[in-house]
Amino acid sequence: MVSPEEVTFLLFAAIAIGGALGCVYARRVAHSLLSLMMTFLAVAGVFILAEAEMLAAVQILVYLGSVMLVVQFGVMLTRKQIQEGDIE
Amino acid sequence: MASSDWLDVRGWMDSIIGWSLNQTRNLMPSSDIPLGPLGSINLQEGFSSIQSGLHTFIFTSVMCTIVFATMMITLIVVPYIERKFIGRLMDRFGNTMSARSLWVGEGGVTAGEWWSTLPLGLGAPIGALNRALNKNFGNDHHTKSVTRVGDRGYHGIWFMLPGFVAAVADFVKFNTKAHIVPEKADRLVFEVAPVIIISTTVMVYAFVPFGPHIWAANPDLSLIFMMAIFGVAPLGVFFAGWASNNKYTLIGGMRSAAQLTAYEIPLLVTVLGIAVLSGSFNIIEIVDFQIQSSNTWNVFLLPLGAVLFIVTMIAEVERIPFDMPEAEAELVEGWWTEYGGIRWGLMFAVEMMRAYAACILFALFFLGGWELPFQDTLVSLPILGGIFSLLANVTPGIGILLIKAYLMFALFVWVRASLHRIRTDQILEFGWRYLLPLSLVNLAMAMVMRVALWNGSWPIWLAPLMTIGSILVFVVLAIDEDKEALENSNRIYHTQTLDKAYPGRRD
Repeated sequence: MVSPEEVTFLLFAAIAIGGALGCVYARRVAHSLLSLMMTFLAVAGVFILAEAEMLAAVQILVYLGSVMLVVQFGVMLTRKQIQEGDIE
Repeated sequence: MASSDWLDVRGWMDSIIGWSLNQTRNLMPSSDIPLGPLGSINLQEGFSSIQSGLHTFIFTSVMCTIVFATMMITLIVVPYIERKFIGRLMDRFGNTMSARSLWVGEGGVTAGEWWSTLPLGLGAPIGALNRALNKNFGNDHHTKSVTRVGDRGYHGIWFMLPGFVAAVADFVKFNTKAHIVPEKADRLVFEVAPVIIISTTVMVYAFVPFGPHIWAANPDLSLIFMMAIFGVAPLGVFFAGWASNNKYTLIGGMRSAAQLTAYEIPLLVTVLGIAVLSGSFNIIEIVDFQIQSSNTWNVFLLPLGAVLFIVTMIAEVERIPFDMPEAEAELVEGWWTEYGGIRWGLMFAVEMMRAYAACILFALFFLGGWELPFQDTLVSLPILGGIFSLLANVTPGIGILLIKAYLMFALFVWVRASLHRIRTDQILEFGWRYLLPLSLVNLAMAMVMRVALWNGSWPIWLAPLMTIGSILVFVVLAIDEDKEALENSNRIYHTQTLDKAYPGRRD
């Protein structure tokens, strides 16, 4: 018998791994970023399952809220080199 | 001991659901039911084993629904305040107010006598009604219509009602519009971005209490959770701007990312000051601290923090002095230019929700949440105390909290009507060079107060000293300005400049 916690953990783990794979294999940078966001959210969910609420909140606050924003800056500033001719 | 009022929604829902589940269990047969080779089953015992889990699940769902419904219903007032208040401030009138002046004809001219084209004389009563209205209430001169629009007292108390219905009509309109995705847009990200923005903004309200007994979730770290979720929406803004594949949306997303990075940090440090001062990361405990332990609203202890919170929050929710990401004069409509229909409508609603959340949070953090102003002092007055005590007991906490929140939103609208947009580089400079150090100063003041001056209650001189001192510093700084710079119009954030920018200028 699988407990609900295990099911939830497997779900979060699958999302995290899928997001990480998507981050590596996505063709466009924005898709990579979206996948990375998914991974961070799923990891935050795993932290909540492990009863580490503070860590989950800080995970969302720091990684999703701040680090991703800085990475976005990088994407914004290097867009022309990465996706030539995509925007007219 | 937490604060309380008579509107105990959580307690009521808890007992109703518990009673319903008990009745459901009692309806089941209490004896074992034989299932042949499979043994036997006892429905009551089986139900008892899942009853507590079922109770928690239904109770949480119901409370989420109640909080969400409360938020959506009370949110209707927010655009109403925005329209009406800014209409008054800028001497303009809304469409409902203008339309009311046209409901009967002008100078005997009616709306085209369209009723006489109806068959079988069906239109005769309409025509008679219209002529009667015209005779009694119509205008005999065309300027009277203008006067009606201009006459603010004309509608009496009823002028308040129709504004609410306009929001419903708007959303019916949004729902019927086609969903258009630009041909060269990144389809996946274009569809996902509104989901990120809308879902995270609604999740903020999971942690926002509307009263001592109206909240969906109350973890120990609700403040951090709430601020964390609040900070995710800018990512969606960036994705929306990028995926639309349009230079205006891209510039809007860029500005949004830059501005929100610059203002997120002062906002978090300011909120940290509140947490330090109140000694808790739980929003309800912060409110209870102001009501019960400290007997002083935080705004009197940290006026600097209150001002910082308002400024950074206005920037975070992208309202007018800081709304460069959607500056419609230069960027069409900013990062959401390419969105239409219900996606645009929901994102606009989300913008209002974020501003509304900012107002509620200010009321909770700084204005004592669901406490009447100076409640303890008023209640202990010799003769009038009984009246105020009755008032405090009769008014539910949500009423007081929402009045404070709406007044805060009126302040937001006032700021919007008074100031104009700040240039992007000025926004960033202001955020990094002034707000960040000031928020650190605020945090240091909160720490000193909490560590050195708090022993179960504040010293009696602290709140007056902080309030009056802050006002004095503000007045001195406002008077003592650089005269020479003022004359030359080159103060740091002066909006006039002698050194005008023009295309092709390099410096």
